Amino acid sequence: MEKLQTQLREKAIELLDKGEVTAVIGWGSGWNPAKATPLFARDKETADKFVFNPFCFNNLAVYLPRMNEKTAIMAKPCEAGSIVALLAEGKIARENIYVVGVACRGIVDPVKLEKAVGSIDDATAAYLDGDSVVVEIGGEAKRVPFAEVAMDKCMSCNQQDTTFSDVMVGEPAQVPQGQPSLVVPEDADAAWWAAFWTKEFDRCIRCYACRESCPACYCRDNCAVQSLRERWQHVTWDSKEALMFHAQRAMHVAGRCIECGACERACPMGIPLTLLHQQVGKAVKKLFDFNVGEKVDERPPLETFRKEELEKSGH
Amino acid sequence: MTSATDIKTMLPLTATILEVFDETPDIKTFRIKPDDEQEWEKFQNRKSGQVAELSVFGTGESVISITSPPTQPDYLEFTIKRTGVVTDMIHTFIAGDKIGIRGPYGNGFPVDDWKGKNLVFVAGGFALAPARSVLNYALDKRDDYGHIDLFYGARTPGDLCFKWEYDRWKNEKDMFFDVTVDCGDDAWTGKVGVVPALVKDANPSPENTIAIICGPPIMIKFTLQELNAMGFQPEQIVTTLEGKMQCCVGLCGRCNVGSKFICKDGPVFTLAELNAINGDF
Amino acid sequence: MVTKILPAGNIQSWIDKLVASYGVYAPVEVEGASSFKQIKAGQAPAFDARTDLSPKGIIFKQVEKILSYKKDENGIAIEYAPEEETKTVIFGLRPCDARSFTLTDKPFLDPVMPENKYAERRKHTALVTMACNKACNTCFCTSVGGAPDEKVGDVWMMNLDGRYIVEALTEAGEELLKTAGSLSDATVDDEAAAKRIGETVAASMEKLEVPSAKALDNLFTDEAFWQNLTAKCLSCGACTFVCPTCYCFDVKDDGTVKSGDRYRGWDSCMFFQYNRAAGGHNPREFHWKRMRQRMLHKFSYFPEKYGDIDCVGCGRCIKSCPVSYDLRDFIQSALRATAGMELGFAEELPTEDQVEPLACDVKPSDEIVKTGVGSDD
Repeated sequence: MEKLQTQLREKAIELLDKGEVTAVIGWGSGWNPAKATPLFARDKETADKFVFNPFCFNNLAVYLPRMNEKTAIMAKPCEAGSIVALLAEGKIARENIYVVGVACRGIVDPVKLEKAVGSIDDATAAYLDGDSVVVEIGGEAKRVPFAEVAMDKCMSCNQQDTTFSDVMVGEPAQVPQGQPSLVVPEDADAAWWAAFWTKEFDRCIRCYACRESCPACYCRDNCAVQSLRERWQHVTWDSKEALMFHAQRAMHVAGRCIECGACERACPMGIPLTLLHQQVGKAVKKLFDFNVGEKVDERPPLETFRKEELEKSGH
Repeated sequence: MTSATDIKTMLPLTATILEVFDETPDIKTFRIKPDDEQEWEKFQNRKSGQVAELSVFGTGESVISITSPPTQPDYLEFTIKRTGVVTDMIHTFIAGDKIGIRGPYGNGFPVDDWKGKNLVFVAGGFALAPARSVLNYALDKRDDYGHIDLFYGARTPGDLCFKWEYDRWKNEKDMFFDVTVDCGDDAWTGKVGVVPALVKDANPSPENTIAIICGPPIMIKFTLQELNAMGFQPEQIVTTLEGKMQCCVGLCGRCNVGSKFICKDGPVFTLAELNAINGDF
Repeated sequence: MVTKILPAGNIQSWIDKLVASYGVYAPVEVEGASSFKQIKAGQAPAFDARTDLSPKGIIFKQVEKILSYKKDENGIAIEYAPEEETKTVIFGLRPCDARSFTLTDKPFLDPVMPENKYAERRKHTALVTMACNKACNTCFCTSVGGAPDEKVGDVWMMNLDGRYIVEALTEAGEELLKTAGSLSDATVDDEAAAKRIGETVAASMEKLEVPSAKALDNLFTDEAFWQNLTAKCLSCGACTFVCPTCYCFDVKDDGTVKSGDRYRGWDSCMFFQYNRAAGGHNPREFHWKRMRQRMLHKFSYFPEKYGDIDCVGCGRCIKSCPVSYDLRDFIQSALRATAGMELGFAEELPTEDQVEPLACDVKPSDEIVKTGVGSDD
């Protein structure tokens, strides 16, 4: 990981030096060693602060539509997929970005980590040591196998070779295989899901952090849920209205969601949002046989209409 | 002392629309009177330049400046342009309809400080509405004020507001009224050009004078250039700010420019005050 | 007022007695997120949780009906929401959270234009403040005028060693302590122990120097500073929702032309639409302008008006930010950027006689005293 980090720093400095880009977006160290933070570098000194570790959970592609200069972006398979999706929708211009692909071997899920080691708010150090994640809190080093705390979605990642990039840094590695944190019962039916989500969304405070951290939600707060001219939602903020918002959002990002989990990481109330988007993602795959983030020239299925689909569905 | 919980901040009362008429294709003037006697009295004791919050129940509220002067004893006049959801709904109202109202809010114009002074009004388009409240007040109290100029313009003749006032303004004692449009039409026989040009031509003296400018940013910018050239000081120049407002009582937080709230510390500001504020306009 | 000792193990019975007469809100953990919820008798609060949400939602509700309207043959009948009268106790909030209410009181208990619902609830709510035995690494209360053992609220308490040292700070507090059972006086040693704990906790936090309100206002025009500082901010609004001193709101109608309700609810200056006027003009179109507004409101405009920074250093914004924006970075960067301008926290703020005193007759927790339910057991 150290080597990969050095390579990324060198690449960033090289790109800035050559004038190929004027900004590089990557990760840096934040207030919490167990949480990386996005870092924007426009000079060598800042570019030397880039890090890459299993705590780099943000999806950096969310910043691309707002950049109005040629920008390099460090892209895990998540970001690369989001970038492909944004290009496919014409939201960013290919000539404005330089993608530095990063061979990611999985990201730590902070919720799983806290279940294993307790609150990480006061961590003084956090790092990967072989196949274990170590968190130092109050002088004590707590160790837990990476496989046990990796994000659920990392375990099923099939994009480690990050096909979309201008340059690839690092060697692809096997992602850890462990237990998903949320086990959905085999016989989960509509009633089970309704009860599950009603309970989860009781905590939703409609802060919209999930929406703002999502590269696919580029409407930002011109969002339908806040529309005044057509009132789609009631003003009251309760579990039912929250469910309505998230269901709407899930439908709007259907076929465009890379399932990176940025929404779930952003949620201050710890609601397992990725699960909702994964369920919709499964349906998209089944109905349209479409994989998000693979082809730059393929628009998402819910944005296109093909006559064959009518015939296929028997209408 | 009235308990704070007896003061119904942000809670409207009903008012009746007495009359509605068109000013332009997308601007109407509404004559409205609050139903509650006490509320009406509160409004009658207002200062020129204050605003009210009109409620369209089911849609929302909108802050509109009261364009009639406090000396108008029968109703409150609001000149409203169709812009968003609330104003769209207000435009469907007719005489006899009920509307919600609360106010008056804002700082108003310092009319007492201006006694004995000359007043130069420069207005563009429908921004004449806030300026009109103090213009007509000064005309109603004619002897309290010196010479009055009104320089007014709009993009086209169809965009000119308060045409029904022009006769009065042309014939008032010691008042000069000049109108222009950016583009004329076949029927227009008046001046064609921008409002700042009218000001330049008239060359008002800054001596013992207050200039009130209400209009689009571009008009304000060029008018200020003319006034500066004539020697007007920032303390003598007054304008009204606009912005998205909600509570209109300095609580909801949104209409601030720097540390000043447009709804409470404004909407009337002198140029000197604005120059001293670092804010998002 | 006199400090007393609540014996070890007696805290639950006191809480249960309060539950019998008041709506009691205390920190509660639900599925890994903690917030203040109403508790039942026998329910033990999670005192150690640094709640993800602040208790501001108890007095300044997230969504609240302010009136109902109905069209009838006479016109429109408006019915204002009934006055709030439920007696409430917020139990176990930290000094930072208790202090946050004294800050939101300043705009909301304005004698001429109070925020009605807030004022109604404030009259009927008492605060039992629990001092901190430990600071989190995101806490910075001492940098913004607070302290981990600050005596603020109606009752102040600190966990010494299982026993609590308690002190009634107001009449309402005395009323509440009547239900706590028999309390012995605290000894000199007890008070010294409490003082030591407070000092240790305070020393564990870095005390940052905060630039003056005036210097920060000058910093407004340095656009590059704000753009760099906020490059990673998503403008999502999470910080404003978890923050105890953010109080921006919106008023929205919900209903048809014929009948419906009007609600007052939380809004956020971080939303793009927050300031967008109907015609499309948006003075804070870019996220860095909105973050500039947020920082300056808290550290410049509010202090200029009311003499206090509108931040209590609870650190919730830091913890909940999806991109780990750290307010302390802002303070330190701003300090560097304003070096050379008028510095110094104390001298720039208005003095006591320059700030309009809170002339409002709504006294916090007033109603708790008037209809006291305490008894001498």
